[in-house]
Amino acid sequence: MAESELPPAGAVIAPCKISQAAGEINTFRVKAADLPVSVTIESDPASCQFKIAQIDIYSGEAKVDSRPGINDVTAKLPPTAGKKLSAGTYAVYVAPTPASGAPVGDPFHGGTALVFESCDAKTLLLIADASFLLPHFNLEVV
Amino acid sequence: MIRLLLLAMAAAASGSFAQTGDSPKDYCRDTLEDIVNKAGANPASGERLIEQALDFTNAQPCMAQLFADYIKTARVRAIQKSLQGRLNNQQLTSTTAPQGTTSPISKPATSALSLISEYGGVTTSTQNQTATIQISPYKVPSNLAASGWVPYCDQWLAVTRECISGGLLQQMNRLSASITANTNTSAQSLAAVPVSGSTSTGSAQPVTATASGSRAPSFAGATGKYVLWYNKGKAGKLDFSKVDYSTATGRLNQLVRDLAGNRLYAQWQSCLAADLSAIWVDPSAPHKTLRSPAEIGEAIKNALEDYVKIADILRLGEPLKSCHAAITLPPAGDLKAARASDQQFIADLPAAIAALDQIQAQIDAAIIQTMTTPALSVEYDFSAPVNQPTYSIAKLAYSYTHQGAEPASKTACPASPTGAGKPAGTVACPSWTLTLNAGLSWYSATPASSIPGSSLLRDLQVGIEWDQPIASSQWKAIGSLIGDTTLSATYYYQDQTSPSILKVTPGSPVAGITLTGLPATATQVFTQKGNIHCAQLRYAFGTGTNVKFPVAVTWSNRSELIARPTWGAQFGVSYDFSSLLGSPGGANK
Repeated sequence: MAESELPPAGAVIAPCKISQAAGEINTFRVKAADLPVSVTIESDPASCQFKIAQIDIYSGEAKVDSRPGINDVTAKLPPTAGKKLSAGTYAVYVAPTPASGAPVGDPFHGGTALVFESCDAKTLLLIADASFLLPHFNLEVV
Repeated sequence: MIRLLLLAMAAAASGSFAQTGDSPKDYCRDTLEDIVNKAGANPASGERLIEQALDFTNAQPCMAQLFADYIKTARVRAIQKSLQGRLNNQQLTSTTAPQGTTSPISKPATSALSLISEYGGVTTSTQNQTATIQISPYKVPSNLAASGWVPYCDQWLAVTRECISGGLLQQMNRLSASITANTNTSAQSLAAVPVSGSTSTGSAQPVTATASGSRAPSFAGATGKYVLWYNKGKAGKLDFSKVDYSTATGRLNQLVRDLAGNRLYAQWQSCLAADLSAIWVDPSAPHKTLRSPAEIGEAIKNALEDYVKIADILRLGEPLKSCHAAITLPPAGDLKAARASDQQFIADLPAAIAALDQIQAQIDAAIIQTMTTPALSVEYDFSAPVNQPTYSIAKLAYSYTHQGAEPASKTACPASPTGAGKPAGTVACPSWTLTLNAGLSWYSATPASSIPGSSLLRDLQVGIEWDQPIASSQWKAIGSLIGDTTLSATYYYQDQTSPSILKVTPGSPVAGITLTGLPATATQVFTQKGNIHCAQLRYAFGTGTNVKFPVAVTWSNRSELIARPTWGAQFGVSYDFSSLLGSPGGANK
């Protein structure tokens, strides 16, 4: 690694725990032992200042974990401390807060919210914008 | 029945439901072009969006567009209610037109729903007791939309023609009205004559009493107010913590469940994946690059044609007949099972869209209420004082609220006349408020020419009030008893351009006034006009709560009838019922 590419002093670069599940649409895979993982939200443009408003996790029809009112740029997945996800497939919804300065009726205000796993490769998990208001991804826990 | 009543209330409050016209936007095309636009900046984003788009339930605006006709006719609403909420910067006394007010000053904003009982009348010569009900028509329809009882026009999901729009709610948030009744002066009068044939000469005499008029409280006045200008809040300081997305995620997850294992849906996904892979030079390359704009345009055109076929697949339960991409589609499998899945999806779709509308209504309500503080309003008062000619007042009211430092803690703001109860950490706590009034009043009919100096113009008036919140809840011994309070100092000036007039009926008394020596032909009496200077100190208990008790002492150089300095005391109680109307975000708790 070139010197210029070294991470800043003190920065914590964690290896990614979540990976794309090959052959399955909109699905990621993670080991149960690797949970919880940190997720972070970024804004494009940055002035939108999206935050994670809420994370809901469903297994079949059952809501197995939910944390409203997060209002932070980082969160844990699953969001509730101590919550364990057993092997299986879950639908994960990450709702962003409205963009900073968003007018009535336009919560994204032309911006895009990108949800990543906080890790060295920044696995992109979810994109929310005016075309994908409240999207989800499937998380396969093995 | 209750729901019907609430719907009628919302319709009455809003005047009419907003109508969203047929949208020229093609949300399905936007969805696919969104992929290309983001892929141009970052191929990884494009890949991720393709995956998201292949899960049809993620592309909610396109989904709503394709099933718009069905959603319009089969809208299903979750019925929920909340019991929380506050509006800020509100007037919690009646306005000056009714004769019993404890304050000569109007504030730009009004509580969503409040009841006020007052004893006073700062410029009148006799004290009166009045009861006032104030209402802002915004809160009811806003909460009906936020709780899913009536449709809300989400601009991205605007498939319903009859819905309440955010723009309409913003306008309604500017409106308020109140009506005041006299509660100490009965409109009914009594006449008593000695009982026929009575010969008693003692100190106690039998009489026969007869009544005229009504025993109902008499109408004292009405007010309409419209906020002309808001102080904009600080961007990024909004509090959306009460918005709960669970209703929407639960409904959307049900759609995902409905389509799980549906082979017709899997066929469509395979087709779309192949169509959209045509935007890449090498779809299998680890680092993808986009094709030329012309090739991408062709790919998107083809993908869009196949993308919208999902509507027929799910409506009709028939396999995909063709696909632009030259691929072998997976087998359709058990058509009966697929059709059952399709029907369940169709049945669950309106509730999912309604839940998304509901979330948007909650977000918009938070924006409308939190980002703005009424600063300038125009007000019209109609006053019908007892035994006086009716008159009107037009008035401008301006408030400036000085923002204090942002609190370090997450507790509520300390006492404030306008911002009490606001969650700290989201806004700066208001520290003091300055309110200015200017207006004029005029009689409903030109006074008789026999009254010298009279004219249609009744008076000109200006006023200024300064409100200082006091954190009295922290006082030792009595702090917990009295809570936070507000000290107000007010100066009010009225130029009586026309004398005050009393209507009299010979032989009938005027409430609180004894008239002697009038000729039998007199129907009106008037006094000398002049300028009224009025100063008031008011202390209000209950700051930051739903019940307030203003107590005031007023000095004026004269009143409307008496041309001599006078002292008076006023007190009242106001109940703010806004919280009973609910608040956005509480709906799903």
